[in-house]
Amino acid sequence: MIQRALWPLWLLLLTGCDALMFRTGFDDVEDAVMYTADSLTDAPDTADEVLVINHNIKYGGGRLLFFWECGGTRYNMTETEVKRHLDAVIDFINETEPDILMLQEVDVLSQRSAYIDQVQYILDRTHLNHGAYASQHKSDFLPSDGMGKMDFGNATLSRWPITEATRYALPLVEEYPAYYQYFYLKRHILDATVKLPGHSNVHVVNTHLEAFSDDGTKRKQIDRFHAHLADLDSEGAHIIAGGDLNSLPAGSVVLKEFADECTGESRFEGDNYEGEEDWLDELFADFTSLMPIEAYAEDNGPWHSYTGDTEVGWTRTLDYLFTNGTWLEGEVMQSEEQGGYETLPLSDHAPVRAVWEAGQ
Amino acid sequence: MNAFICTLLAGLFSSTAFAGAGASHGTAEVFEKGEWEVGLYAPLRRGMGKGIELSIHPLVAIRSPHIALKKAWNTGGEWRIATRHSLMHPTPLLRSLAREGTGGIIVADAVIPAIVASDNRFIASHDVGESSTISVSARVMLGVEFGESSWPSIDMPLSYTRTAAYRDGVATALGAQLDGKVVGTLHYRVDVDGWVLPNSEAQWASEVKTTLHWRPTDGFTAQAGATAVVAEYPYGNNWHVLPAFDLIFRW
Repeated sequence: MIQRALWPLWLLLLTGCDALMFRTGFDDVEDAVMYTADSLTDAPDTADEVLVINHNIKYGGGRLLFFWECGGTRYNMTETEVKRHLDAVIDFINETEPDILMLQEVDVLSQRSAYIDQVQYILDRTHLNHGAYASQHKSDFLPSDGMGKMDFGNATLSRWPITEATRYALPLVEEYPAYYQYFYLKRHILDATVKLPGHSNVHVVNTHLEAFSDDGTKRKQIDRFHAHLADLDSEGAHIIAGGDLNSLPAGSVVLKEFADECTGESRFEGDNYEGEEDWLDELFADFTSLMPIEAYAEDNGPWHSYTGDTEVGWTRTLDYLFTNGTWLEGEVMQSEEQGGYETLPLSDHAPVRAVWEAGQ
Repeated sequence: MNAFICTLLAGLFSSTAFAGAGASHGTAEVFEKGEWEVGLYAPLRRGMGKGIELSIHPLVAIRSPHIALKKAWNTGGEWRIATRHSLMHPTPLLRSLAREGTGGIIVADAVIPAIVASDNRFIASHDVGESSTISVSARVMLGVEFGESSWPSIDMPLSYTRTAAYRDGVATALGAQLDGKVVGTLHYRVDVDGWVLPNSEAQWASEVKTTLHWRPTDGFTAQAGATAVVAEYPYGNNWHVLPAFDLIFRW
C-alpha cells in the first residue's frame, strides 16, 4: 500500500531527473539526427524513377536468436558479429543499389551491438550519402535484461541530400505501468525531405509501429501515420512512405498460430491479429500500396515479409510501402527466386523493394 | 509492484552514499572506541580503539561479503593521517545482478568468476580555520578473478569506476574533500575525485559530490545533495547528476 502510494513520487523523481540521469524522453516534435557519409558518391542528376527499399535490419543481429525470441539465448553481440551481419546487409545494399533506403531497428549507440553506429557504418560503405535518424528506444542505462545503454530507431538513407528531417512522436502504450512506459520503446514517424533532382517537396516517411499492445495503441499509431500522410498529401507533397507496421492487411488467411510460432519457452505469447483485420483499410484506400490488396487476397505468400524461424520461411506481411504517386514495379525480396537475393540470413524481416515514379 | 524502481533508486542512492556518507568519511578522523554509526545507505562503523575503526555495510554484505579497516597514524604534525583498507568478494552480488527481466543490470549469460578485491586509501586531513577541514586522498583498488570470465562492463556512472578493478585488475583515484560549517547545525561537504583506470577500455572519470548536512544533535545527521559525474565510457564521454541522500545515526 505504501509502495503504491509512492508511485507518483518515484515517477516524479525519474521524469524530473530524466535530463540528468537516464535520458529516455523525447519531445513531441523534434529534429532528427542528420548523417553524412565519410566520402560522398556521385548521385544521379536525374531522378524520374527512384528505387526505394524498406528493411527492418534487427539491429545488425542477423539470424542470431536473442533472449526475447523463441529458443533464443543471446544477449550482447561481439563487435565481430555485428560487423559480419552489417557487412551482409551492406553487400545486399551494394548489390541492389537503392536510391532511398528506409531502415527500422538500427542501433546507433547500444551496448548489445558493441556501440557501433550502424547508420554511419552503412553510409560509409555504400553509395548512399546522406541519412536521417530518429531513436525509438533510448536510455543511458536500461536496467533490464542487462541491456545497459540503448539507442535504436529508424533511419532513412539517400543518395541525395536530406534537407530536413523531423521526428514526430506517436502515442505510447497506455496499458503499461508508468515506470515501465518510462523505459519502454517510444514509437515515432521519421519524416525526411529529400532533395530529389528535378523534383521538389519529396517526403520520405518511415515508421515502425507497436508490436505488443492490447489497449489499441497500435490502432492509434496507424491512424496517426495515416493522418500524417494525409496532411502531407493535402500540402501537395510527394510521398514515399513505408515501414514495419506490425499489422496484417485485410485478406490475410492466417491471423494467429503462425507456422513459426514458438512451441517451446518464450517470453511472449504467439502473435494474434484477430480483430485488427480492418486497421490498415484507410491507408490502403487513401494511398497506393506497392502490394495491391486484391493480389494479396488472392495469394498472401509472395507478400510475406517476416519470419521468426528460417526453417519455416516467411510467414506474414508486416512491412509496407505506400505513396500518393505511382509504383512502377516492386516486390518483397524473399529469395533468389523472388527478388533476386537470398535475404533470409540478413534479418527476421525481408526487404521490400519498389520503383517509384517521381511526381512533378 | 515497483520493486524495480525501488531497487534502482536504492542502488543509486546507496552507491552515492558509499562515496561520501558518514561524519568522518573521507577524512583522517577515526571513531573513538565504542562509538557506532550507521546510515540508511552508509555502512555500519565502530571505533575499536587504538586508532582503529571497522566498517561493514550489513545489507550489501549479504550479497557482497566485505569488511573495511581504517587506521589512524600518529604523526604529531598538523596533518592527521589515516589509511583505510577493505577486502571484498563481490561475486555473489554481481551474479545476482546478471539476470533476465527488470533489474537485470548485467546480461544473464554473463560468466562471472570468483573475484577478490581490495580497496586501499591514504587520507590526510588538515584543519583550515576554526570550522573547516580539508582532506586529500589517494586510492588504489585491486581485483583478481579466478576462473573463466566473460561479463560486460557496467557502463553507468559510479558503477563503472567501482567495478573496474573487478574486471580489469586495478582502479586508482585521487581526491580532495572540504568539510565545514555553513551556519548553526548546518554543515557542508564538497568531495572531488578523479579516477584513472589504466587497464580499462574507458580510462577516466571525475566526480564532484556536494552535500548539505543537518546535525541537530551529535547522534543524527541528515544529508542531501548531488553527485555530478563526468566520465569516459566504452561508448564515449557522458555526464550525469545523481541524487545523494542519507540519514545517519551515531551513538
